Order: sequence, then C-alpha cells, then structure tokens
Amino acid sequence: MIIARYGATWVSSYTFGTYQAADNWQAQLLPVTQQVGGAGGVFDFFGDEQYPPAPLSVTKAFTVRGSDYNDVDDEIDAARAWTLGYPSSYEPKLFAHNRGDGATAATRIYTPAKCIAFKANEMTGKYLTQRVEIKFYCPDGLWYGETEQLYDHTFSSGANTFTLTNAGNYPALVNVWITPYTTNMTSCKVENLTYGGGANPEWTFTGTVLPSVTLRVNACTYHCANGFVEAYADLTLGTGQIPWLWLWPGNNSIRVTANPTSYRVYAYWNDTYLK
Amino acid sequence: MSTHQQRFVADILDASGNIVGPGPLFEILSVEVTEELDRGGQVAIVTPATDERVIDWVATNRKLRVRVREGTMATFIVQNMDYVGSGKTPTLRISGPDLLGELLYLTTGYNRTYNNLDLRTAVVGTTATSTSLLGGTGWTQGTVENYGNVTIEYDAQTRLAALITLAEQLGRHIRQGSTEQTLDFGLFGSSSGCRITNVHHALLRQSSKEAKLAYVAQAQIGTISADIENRILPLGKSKFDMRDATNASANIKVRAGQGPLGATTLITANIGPGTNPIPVTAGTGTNFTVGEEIWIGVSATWTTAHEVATVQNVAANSITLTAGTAVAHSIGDNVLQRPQFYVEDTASQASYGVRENTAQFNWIGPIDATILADRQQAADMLYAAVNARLTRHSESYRSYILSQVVNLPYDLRVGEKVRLTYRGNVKAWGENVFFIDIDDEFYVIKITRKFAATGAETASVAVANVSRPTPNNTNLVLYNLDTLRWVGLS
Repeated sequence: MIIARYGATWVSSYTFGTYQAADNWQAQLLPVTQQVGGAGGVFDFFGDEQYPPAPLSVTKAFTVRGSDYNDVDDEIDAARAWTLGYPSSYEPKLFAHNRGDGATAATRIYTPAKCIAFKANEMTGKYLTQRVEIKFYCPDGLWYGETEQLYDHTFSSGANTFTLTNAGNYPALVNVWITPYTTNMTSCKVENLTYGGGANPEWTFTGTVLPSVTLRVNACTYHCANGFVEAYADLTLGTGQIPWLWLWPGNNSIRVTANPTSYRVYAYWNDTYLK
Repeated sequence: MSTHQQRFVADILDASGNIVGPGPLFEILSVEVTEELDRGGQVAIVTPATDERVIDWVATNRKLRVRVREGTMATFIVQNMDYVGSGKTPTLRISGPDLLGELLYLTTGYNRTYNNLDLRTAVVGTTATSTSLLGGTGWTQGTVENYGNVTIEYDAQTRLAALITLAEQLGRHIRQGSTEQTLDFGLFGSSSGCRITNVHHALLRQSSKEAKLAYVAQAQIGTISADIENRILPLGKSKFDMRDATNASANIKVRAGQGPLGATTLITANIGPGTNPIPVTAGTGTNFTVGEEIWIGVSATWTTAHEVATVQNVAANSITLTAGTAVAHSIGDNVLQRPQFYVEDTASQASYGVRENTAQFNWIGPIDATILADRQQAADMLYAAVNARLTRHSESYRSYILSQVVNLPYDLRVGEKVRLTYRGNVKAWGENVFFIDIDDEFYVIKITRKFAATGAETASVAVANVSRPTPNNTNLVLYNLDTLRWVGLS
C-alpha cells in the first residue's frame, strides 16, 4: 500500500514525492493486560477477544528534486505548507491505495491524520536534491474507504432483509435513516443477522415518526434524531450493546421490521480496514 | 470514530431520570464507581474537556447512567465538574453521589415516629406512601427483610440518614437494590459464591474470565481494631433504658449503679406481692437512699422475676417502697440500688477480657412514656439496637483492602460474603510488612471499580471479618454532615 496524499480531500491535497519514497508505519493492536500478584504471565482483560487497534504513527520520506537551489527550496516550502502548516480545521487525512489498484476513488482509503513533524536537513554535496521526512499521527488506527457506501431502497410490505457489504477487514459502523411514507411509524427495529462473534447488534426505535419525517440513527456519531428532534430516549439497544450498529467484514444480512411496512431505508457507511 | 470494541458510554438523564440529548457520552476516558455498605456511593467519569456533547448537555444536577457491555454500572447525580489541566490533555472529571444521594433531598421533618410498626411499612409503606421513609422519594422496595415491628422517632434527619440509623440500630444494612431507585434493607451476609485469590500464574483460562473467580494483586491491611465492646450499657432518648423490655429470652443483665459498685443487699425472708417494707440483710438498709430506684430480682439477671421500685423509707433491716412489691420474692433475692441494664458477650470476654462501653441511641424512646405498651416497645427496640451493636463490636475488627482485583463479578454486592484465599506479603503504610496466609470468608464492605480507557477493568475491594462499615472513610462525609446538622453543630 502506498501512502500518496495528505489533505482534506483527495482532490485538494498534497501529493507526496515518489522519488526514493519510503513509507514507515506499523499497524498494532494494544495488549490490555496486567500482572497479577507477582505471578508469571499476565491477566488478559480482553479474554478471547482481539485487542483494540493502536493509533498509527506514520513516517513518509521522499527526495525532493529541482533544477536549482531555489527550485528545491520552493518544493520543500510547499511541502511544509501543505503538511506542517495545514489548517487543522480542514480535517486532514492521509490517503493511500494499493499499488496494483491505481488511484481510483473506489479503491482509495484514508485515515484521519495530523502532521506532527517535518524534517528536511541540508546536506553538504547535495545540490539539486534534498531528503524530506514527514511524520503523521493518526488517532483512529483504522483506514476507511474514501467512497461512502450507500444503500437506498423503498419497501412496501413485511419485514425486509437486505445485504450490506463491508469490503474492509474490520467492523464498520453504519448509519441508518428510515422515512415512513403515508402513516405514522410507531416501531422500528434494525438488526444485523450475520454472526460475527458475540451477540448480533440491533437497535429498536419506539418513538413515533411522522410521515415524510426521517429517523436518523447515526452509529458513527452516536446521534439519534427524529426529524430534527433529539430522540435518543426512544432508542433501545441489544443487551450489553455499546455501539449502535455495525457491519462485519464481508456480506451482512440486515433486517428491518417496522410498523407501518411502507418506508424508505437509507444506509451509509465506510468500508473499514486494519492495514 | 469508535469501534465495536468500545467498552462504556454514559447516557445523559434529566433530574427526573429521562434520557435527554442526541445520544450518550461516548468519548469517556475512564470511569470509577464506588459502592459502600450503609453509605451512599460515588461515581466519577473523565472525559476530554473539549468534548462538545459534554459541554452542550452535561450540567450539575443532571444524571449520568454509565453503561458497560455487561449492563448498567451506575447512575449518578452530577455534582462536580472539575477541569484538570494536565499538560497536553485537558480533561473534565465529572463526579457525584450515586442515586442513594437522592435520599438526601428529603427529610423526616420533625417528630416523625414509627410506633411498633412493621419494618417494611416504616421503610416502604404499602404504596411508598409519604409516611414511609421512602415515601415521596421515587424509590421503591428492593429486598426488605421481614423483620417485625420497630419503634423509632426521627427529628430532622435526611431520609438517607434515617434509613442508615434504622438499619444500624437493628443490626441490619442498606444498599441500593439491583435495579435503580430500589432499596435493599436487611442482614445481607449471604455467600456470593465469589472467590478472590492471588495466583501463581495467570492462565489462559483465567484470562477468559471464569465467572466467580477474581484475582488479586495485592492485599493491604485496612483496619485492625482493638476497639472491642463486649459489655454495653445502652440508653435511649432521655436516658430511657431496657427495664420494660418484654422479650423473655433477652440477654439483659442488671447491676447496681451508684458509685463504683452501688449499694446491694439480699432479701431475708420470703415475701408475697404487696409486701412492704421488705426485709433485707441486717444493717444494709440504710445504705439506700429515699427516693431512688431499686431493682429486686432472683439474681442480677433480668430474665428472672424482677421489678423496679422506688424507695420511700429506709431502716437498718428493711426498705419501704412507695407501692410495695409487685411480685413475690424469696430469701436471697437481690436488691440493687439505681439499677443499670446492659448486655454482654461472655465468650468475647473470655477471649479479650471485659471491654465495657455505654451507648446512646437517641432515636429510641417511648412515644408516650406514661403508657406501658409504648415503653415496652421502645425497650424491646433498644434491646435490639444494643444487641446489634454487641454483635458487630464483640470481636476484633480486621479489614483488608484488596487492590488491583481483576475479573471481579459484576453481580457481587456489598454486604455479601466472599472467600478470600491469599498467600503472600501484605502492605501497610505502603510497605510490605508481613506474610499472611488467609483462607476465610469475609464480608464485602466496599467495592471500587475502575474502567480505564484501554478497556482494562480493575477493582479494589474492602473486606472485613465483621459486617460493619469501615471507619475513617471519606464516604462517611454525607452521613456525618447529616448527623452534625441534626445535633446542631453546623
């Protein structure tokens, strides 16, 4: 995988140099353990579950080339401005893609990142090149598909099961919006029927959603609104469930059971990767 | 963005307990939940100081319900929001009492009396009526023991302090029930089935969280108290005592009360009811004083036929009473001056020697001192109270604080028993002091569960060989402040 750009969007971002480029980073899972009473070994708080991903520390290095001193300095200044000097309010990201995929939107991935160091030391004897090393800190520890995945369908009867696919290799949180058409919606349940280890996630909304008003249950931001009214009080989760709804890697069978049975389902998520 | 491995969130509730806002607090750095026997608990969470949902929705007197994957961990009243400017990571520590703190919002008012009333009626009432201690609080019955009748009077205590007082005086305990806003009241002390042990090697099987088996890293000596009481002389309100108790099996004893020993003598002839004056050992009658009370009985034991009378006149060989004797007495019966009533634990005295104490129970007294039935009910209550105190104080109090306990079952409650098996050094004053080998059952007095941002969950558990709260604890503050207010010191 090549880390290719840094910025708010792929289009509006800085493209790293490719000459003598080197990416240095390591995906890690954080062990959560504790020694017990001077005993050998440790107690594992996660038991038979995997540990959570650690934040990423990424170092991107490449060599800047120019036709003269000024040209090299200008290149370096531009790189510094796009990285270390990047306005944080633009929510910068690192963009990457697999080497064989090319840089199409459908295959690109990103992770939220902040530039924390920029190194471009002058070296005697190097006139038209200069080595640049830029460090980034990526708090999520996960990568997301750049293209948001969408599911948009209108149902007219019964409980409805459909498939949502997480093309990544790590569970992806999924936002689900439901809009009844002609009559008040008085109950609505969304479940992921695909077994991925442990209890399957589900949520149930017990409030009343008026026709043409959209119920938004955004798992990514833990935000529930009935139209524009905060409505978390009417949301019930499965036993022992903390996140609201997620997709396991691969195909997920999602069932919506609602009253009335005529409604529109709009779901969106980002494929999620541990790279 | 959060992952499916997220461990805990906190729902935001208004003062009435209704969820508000768009969703829970989910950027929580750590959680600490403390539950303590006979005390209100404390809860604290730490969030980033810049978390917008906290800023927008959390305020003092709102409530936060902390949920972990295993269920609701605690709901607490936001009382403090302290910014902690720790270098690069400014955080906000949100803390307050658990829901038992709601019972501080209402008082008993003045002169609230429960006269020979069933305990459950006094605590809960039939429908949580305003006359019960939980009335009007929104709280209902969890598990309340079928104890029998109680007699007690309250004056301007908070409901929480009133409940704690009642429990303490009956030798019972209170804690929050297994569901929110329910109260457990009873003896507790049942075995939890939980074993806390230190281990020689952390095994994979242990890591997979075997239920009911917790692992302790370090034991620390909490309190080893030589504060033993095995003879207690109780006094209720206005120096009310146990003389009118009706419980025939009561372990009440009596002794002369004036001076170091008080005057005593023996009856020298068999006498019937109504005899006056009563003959006593030659030359001893004048040791008594006109107007004082005397106790007459087969021996100095309350359970035998006895009476308390007032001296009207004295002579060398006899004592005249104001109303004659009430019951028959025999040669050799004791006459004791100014009787004092007490209970004692002779087994404890054999182990530790006599440790005497007087105890004041200000909430116990006859509702109407001129009515015998009222005096009897209050005397029985006083006996129950002092017996409870004797049970809790007649042996040396040993408590241990078990720190860095992992895999502590979520359903373990204060007041229950755990089995502690521990071989190793214990700490006191921060140092390893000696090696102990414990394999015994202990009462759980206090549990503090800590949830770290990493997902690690550890606990510290205070256990004791006697089921009573550990003294010198900061969580006493709420209760103590309440008591101070009652006696007028603040």
